[in-house]
Parts: sequence; C-alpha cells; structure tokens
Amino acid sequence: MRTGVGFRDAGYTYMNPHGNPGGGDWGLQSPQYDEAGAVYLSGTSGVRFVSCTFKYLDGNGVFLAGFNRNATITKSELTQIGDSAVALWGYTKASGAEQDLDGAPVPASALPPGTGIDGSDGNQPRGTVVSESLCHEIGFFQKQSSCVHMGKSMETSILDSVFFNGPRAHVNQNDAFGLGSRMAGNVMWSSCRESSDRECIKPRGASGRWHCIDTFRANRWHLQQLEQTTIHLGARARPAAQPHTEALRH
Amino acid sequence: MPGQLPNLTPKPFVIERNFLVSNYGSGYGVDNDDGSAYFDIRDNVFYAGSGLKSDYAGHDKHFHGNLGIGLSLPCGVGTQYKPGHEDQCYNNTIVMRSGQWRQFLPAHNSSYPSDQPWVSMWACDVKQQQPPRCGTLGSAATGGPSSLAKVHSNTVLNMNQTSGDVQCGGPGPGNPPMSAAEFRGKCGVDVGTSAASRPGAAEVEAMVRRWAGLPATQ
Repeated sequence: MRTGVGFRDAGYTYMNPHGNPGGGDWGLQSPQYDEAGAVYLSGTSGVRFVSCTFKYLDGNGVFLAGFNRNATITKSELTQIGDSAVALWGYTKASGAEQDLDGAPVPASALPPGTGIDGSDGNQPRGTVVSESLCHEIGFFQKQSSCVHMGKSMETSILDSVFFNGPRAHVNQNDAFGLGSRMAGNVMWSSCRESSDRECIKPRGASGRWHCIDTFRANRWHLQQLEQTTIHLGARARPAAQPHTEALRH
Repeated sequence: MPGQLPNLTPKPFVIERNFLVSNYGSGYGVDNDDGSAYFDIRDNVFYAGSGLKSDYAGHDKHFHGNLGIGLSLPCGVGTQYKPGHEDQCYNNTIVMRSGQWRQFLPAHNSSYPSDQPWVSMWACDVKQQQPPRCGTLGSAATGGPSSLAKVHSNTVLNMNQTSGDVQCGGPGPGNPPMSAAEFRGKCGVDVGTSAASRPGAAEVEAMVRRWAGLPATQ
C-alpha cells in the first residue's frame, strides 16, 4: 500500500503579476513564475496525482504552464483554495500573419513572448485529465476562479468528477485554442455563489495575449521536465485519512 | 502539429452525460459566450438555467439530445451564421420553467405556464423571404448571406403555451413571440413540438434517471 500525499498551506498570490491568458476576459497569475500554483508543472510528461489532497492553498492549486503532456489528477480532492483549483496556460508564438484592428501587419517583435496565434510548436498543456475528483470551496480570494481553467491548452478531459461551491463558473474554457476536449459524467452545482448571470461551464472565443511585470519567489512544489512521475496514494485511500505534507508552508 | 501551418479550426469540445444544476446565480449550464464555437453538447441533464446560448458571433455549436428541467430558454440564438456553420438545437426534451418561477420553486413544479418563448432568434426577419429565408441576404462587402440557426425536432413540455414559442427578431411590443406553427409558415422552419402539459415531480425524476443512466426507483 502506498503512502498518501497532501499539498497544503501555500500562500496567497493574488497580488502577483497577472495577465490575460487568451480571448476570454479572465485574468490569471502569469505562467512564467512558479508561484503561479502551489504545484507548478512545466515541461512535464505523464505526471500523475492519484488520490491526493490539495487543501488550504491560498493561491492556485495545480498550475500547468507551457509544455505539459498527459498530466493527470484523479481520485483526488481539491478544496479550501484561494484561487483556481487547476489552471492551464500554454504558450504560442507569432505566425507572421498578425494584424491590428485596422488590418495593418503586426511584427512578431511587437508581441509579448508566448503570444500570437501559432501554437504549432506544441508548447501548451495537452492531454490533461481531471477525473473522479472532488472540487469544492474554491475562489476564497479571487472570485474569477474555477475548478479547471483552460487557457491556450487542448485535449483536456474532465471526467466523472463532482464540482460544487464556487464563486463563478466551475469550468472555464477561456479561448478557442485547439479544443478537442471532453467533459463527461460530471455532476456540478452551486456555481456562481458570489456572482450572478453565469454558468457551470464557461467557454469563450478567440485566442489572445498575456502580459507580465515583476514578482518574487516563494517556496512551491516546482515540477519541471519530469517523465512519468506519479504521486500516488493508492486507489482506495480516502482523502480524509491522508497525512499532509507541510512543505508548502510559507 | 509541429511543422504544419497553424489551423484556426479546432477540434470539437464534447460535453456529454453531465448533470449540471444552475442554482445560486448561475444562468446557464453551459454558457457559450464571447464567440465560442465548435462545441458538441449532448445527452446532458440541465436543471434550471438555460440551454443553448449563442452570443457574439459564435458558431458551429450543436446542442442536442439534452434533457432540460425548469429551463427558461432552451434554444437561444443571439446571432446569425455563415451558411454551413450554423449553431444547431435539436432532439432536446425540455420541461419549461414556469412563469413567475420564483413564486413556484422548484422551478418546474408548477402549473403556471412559461412566460418566455423557448426559441429566440434575434437576427430573424420574417420579411426576408429569399434564401436564406428569414436570414440576412448581406452583400459581398458584408460577407454574403447569413442563415438562421438550425432548430428542429425538440419536444417542449409546457402548460398550454402555443402562442409564444418563437421569438423571431428582437423582442418588443410590435414583435411578440409567435407559435411554432406560425413560425413554420413564415420561415419554413419546424422547431419541434410544444406540448400542453408539464410532467409532475415523479415523472421528472424518472426522466432524469433515464437520461443520467441511474436505476429507476423501486
């Protein structure tokens, strides 16, 4: 039987540099800083969180920045989170065809790094899976938060999960990048508890750009360039019985 | 793909077999806002809120095979489409939300008829009878003709509301909703049937169980 892992007590990041991940109108902590998430994934492939607990995290829970493939969060619980539980933000580049609103060409040098309409280099989260998991009591500080935020990412699967008690949409598809995603077998209720007019799932249109300013570094789980890493509690472990690591205390 | 030219047409985003409850401030189960496109929303159960939303020039969204309980606007279309890229709302079963629903919570559990149309097409124009009928002719400068959404084969369970099924064009005193039959005659579109009764709680529960794949009650 494997030992469980919990992630807790990361500090707040709502004053950190933010940007616009894409065509939607949600802001998010800029992805090049590893404190964007209590668990920060960049350059990974096959990372798995099985029966983990993400709790008492005052910023985002799991943040996938740039290239990530097939990251999986399954049989896990994400709760008591200040911002979003899981956030994806990929990078794109200029295609040479960018235009301003008047149709004039925009040189690639005028675009901030990581922006543009060309995602063909694959530098985005793809194949992310959130399954058989609980997400609730999120967005304590940042009301524009969701259980899964998808910005310039594609082929995400959200399966057989239960989401409830959030301030805004439980799932935010923030742009039209790639898509190919699937949501199936989920139950969701009590979204928009601290706003109105909206939805359990929020999809939006075209891709856009992000900006960044300055930041400071803090201690966070920073998982870069891992291959087939599994953080595994055992399929039958109960989240309530899991010990918590306290490496994230700030 | 690496080495290939960027392609602006994404794969569809499939949303299927979910149970989405729009309580608190939620107005939609799936809010297709701000031009979102290429969604396949099928076989879900929606409670309260609304159905298909098409807004700010979104397109290529298919909303079909869903069960809606206490919905206010199952097929809401606030835009128009390049032919071949229409949004579609079909084969849905909808138990309409009652009028003055806040007085009759839960929203479906009333004999008070809905006071809203169940199809809304703001870009619809009954005076425009050339193909695309009731759509927009347009011109080369404006990108050519624009079609209405494809709405058909829906079953709407309501309470004797037959006069206000479809809102064609913007709402207003001079443009009230018309019946499905009237809309079929003026625009040639058969949006579906509107029944004269709304099921009771036990029947609604049975419908939800059937859609969600849950066992029937003993």
